[in-house]
Amino acid sequence: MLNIENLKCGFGKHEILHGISLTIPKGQITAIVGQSGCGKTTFLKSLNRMVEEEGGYLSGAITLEGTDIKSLPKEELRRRIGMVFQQPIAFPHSIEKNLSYVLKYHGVRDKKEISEKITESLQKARLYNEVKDQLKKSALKLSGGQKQRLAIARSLCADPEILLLDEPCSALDMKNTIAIEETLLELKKQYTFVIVTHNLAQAKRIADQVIFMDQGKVLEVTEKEQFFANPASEPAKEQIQYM
Amino acid sequence: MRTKLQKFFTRLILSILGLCVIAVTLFLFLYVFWKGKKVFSLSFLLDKPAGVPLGTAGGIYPALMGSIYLGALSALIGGILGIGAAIYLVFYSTGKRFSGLVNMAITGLSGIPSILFGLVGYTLLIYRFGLSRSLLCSSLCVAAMIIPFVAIRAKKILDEKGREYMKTSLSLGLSREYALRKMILPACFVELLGTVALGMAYGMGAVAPILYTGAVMQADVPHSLSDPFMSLPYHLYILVNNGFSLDYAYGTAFVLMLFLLIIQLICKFITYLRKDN
Amino acid sequence: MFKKLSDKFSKGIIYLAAFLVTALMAVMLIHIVKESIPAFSQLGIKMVLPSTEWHPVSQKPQYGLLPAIAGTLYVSAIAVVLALIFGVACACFLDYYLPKKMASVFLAFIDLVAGIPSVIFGFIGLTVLVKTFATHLHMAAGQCILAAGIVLGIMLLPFVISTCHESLQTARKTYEFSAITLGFSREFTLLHFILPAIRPGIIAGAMMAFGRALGETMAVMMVIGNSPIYPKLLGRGQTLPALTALEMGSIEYGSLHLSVLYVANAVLLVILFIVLGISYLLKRRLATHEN
Repeated sequence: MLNIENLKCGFGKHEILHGISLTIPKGQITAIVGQSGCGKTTFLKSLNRMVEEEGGYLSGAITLEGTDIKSLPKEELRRRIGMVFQQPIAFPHSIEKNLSYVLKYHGVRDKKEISEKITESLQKARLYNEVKDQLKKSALKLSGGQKQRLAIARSLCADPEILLLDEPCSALDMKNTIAIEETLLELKKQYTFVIVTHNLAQAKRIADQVIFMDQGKVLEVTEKEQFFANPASEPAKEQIQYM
Repeated sequence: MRTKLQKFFTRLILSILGLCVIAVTLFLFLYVFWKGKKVFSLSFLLDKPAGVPLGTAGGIYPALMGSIYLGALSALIGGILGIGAAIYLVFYSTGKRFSGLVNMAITGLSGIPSILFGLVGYTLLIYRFGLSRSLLCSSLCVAAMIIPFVAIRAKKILDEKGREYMKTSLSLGLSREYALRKMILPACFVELLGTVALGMAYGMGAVAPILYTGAVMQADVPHSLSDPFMSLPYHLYILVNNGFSLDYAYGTAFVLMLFLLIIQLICKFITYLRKDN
Repeated sequence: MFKKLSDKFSKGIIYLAAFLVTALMAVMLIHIVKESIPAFSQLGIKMVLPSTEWHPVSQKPQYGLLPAIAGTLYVSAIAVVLALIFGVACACFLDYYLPKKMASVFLAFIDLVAGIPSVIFGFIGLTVLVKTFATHLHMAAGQCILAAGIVLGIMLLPFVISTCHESLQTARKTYEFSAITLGFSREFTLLHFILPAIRPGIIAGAMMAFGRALGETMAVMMVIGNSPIYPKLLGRGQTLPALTALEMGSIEYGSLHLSVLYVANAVLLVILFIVLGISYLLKRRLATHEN
């Protein structure tokens, strides 16, 4: 679905990713793992060109279902490839408005349709039951786990094909982590997920494919069972040992 | 023993100097209010200047209104330009060279002495471009003065809250402009408005830029942009410099200080309330 | 489609604002340089020779800027020294010897002083300071360099106090606890650890304050005496901004006199640029040190 060829990325003279080529398959959960600083987050941010917003450069070819992502307008690209960050960020408005803000931009105007889509995305993110009577409440008052699920619901409102998640559970407790993992497992048939995680156990739990990175290079791209049973590279072996 | 002495003297000196500062600041306000209250009255606010020489009796209404018009117009122009430039610097400028120029321009403008805006305004606007000494001309000069004031503060405000929201909005496939219009600017609106209000107070108190570009010793309340006008601080300066009337000078200073104080206190109060949230 | 249009429009306004601000600065710089050229070409170095005095409207006009330049630097130096002594001490006083609530009230209060217009400072300087000088120091009139320095110093206080207070609080958090547990008194810690630690920040702040003082017009104009002679502490003097403000209105456009005024301001800008440049470099060094 997402084809990446010789991706190089960096800031100024400092290159961070040194030529990555791989494919992200559709309808699966791909986990990107590796040590801190190996470039996982930078890689993720290259896929929706957010790295350029931070002043970085991108070279190489990335195609989404056959279309070069550089040929798409940025807003369209990011609608199709959404992102959820590590820190849960809720906009300073009601839960409802957090979601309608996105829907209205992407062309949904009819009040009824908006309301339906809000319900739908909240249900998908497994947040609906907790907030269904309080949609007008300020989103700032939600807990961290709820905010993160709201962020997922918000991204789903844009109707993406792929959702990128950058260590979405690292600021959350176990209960909220499990909730989000279950959401991803349930939804993976409808969307494609790419999740960066420093938690190998999490990758083992939910991933279909694992990408192992080290120092800006991709060392392994394997199916999950194979990766954990028989890692090919030394650094991977080391890290799995410490799980 | 030595350390005890050191401790005592340090405390003594710091306290004396500190109390001096507090005393002086209190004095500044109290002195003006004490001396000015004699002249201050409703008629002082609402009458036109009278007496011979002009200004030794009557009131300061035209000067008050002139200052308000000047402040409002320059805050409008300077505020929009300053906030616009700040938005550009915070949200549109990753890695581009032009943003370095804009930054330098704002820093540069903030260091320029206020008299220079008057001098350049005088020779450029009045002689080269043929504007007459007017509210418009002075407002342009004062607006130039206000731009860096507003831009620097607005940049801080937008930086604090705006960056996170912009990042999130962009990753949702929204455009920068949509995020600004619907999310970020509304969230920062009150603080930005406060900054513009403070800019207005700053502009109202300025004399150097308006000396030869529009402020005059005697005029009516300006009816159009091309009218000359009276200004409170300029009126004060005239009364003092020409030795017309010390009493009325105190009264003028009183009104000016009170007006600006009120604006500043309102802004401070609003920031205080918002911080609680 | 409609969305795209309004997006483009908003973007256009923002870019326009940024452009206009940059253009404004450029226009001002170019204008000042351009208008200074006649004076440079006709008078050149004569303007800064110590032997040239300031007699622009006499039979044989002289355009010596040195007295005004000296006056500007002298007054600003006095102001910064005074503001530093009193400001740093006050910041320490507020942070150490007053309860937190009182201290923050006073800080907010001192902040309000920053909003007082320059004319009012000049006015109070005139009616209080100058008068006192005239009666108690047996001067003909009380206007002098010292009066201007004192008034300017007071105007700089809010800035010095707030920057100093911030650095002070940060430094205290970093050092005080360790020092106290070693048995040092608060005063000793302040004098020997904290003040040295914030010294670079204070110096950078002092340079910025100096820059502000250089450009101050009205307050100085009202208490300095406006005599373009070499500055003596209790004598009258002149500063570049005050000179400009005073003579601006009575000069013909296009005359040499006006051009010299532009040169005066160009000189002022150069001095400002140097001072603020030093301050900027100091702040950068400070930031890298802390990392």
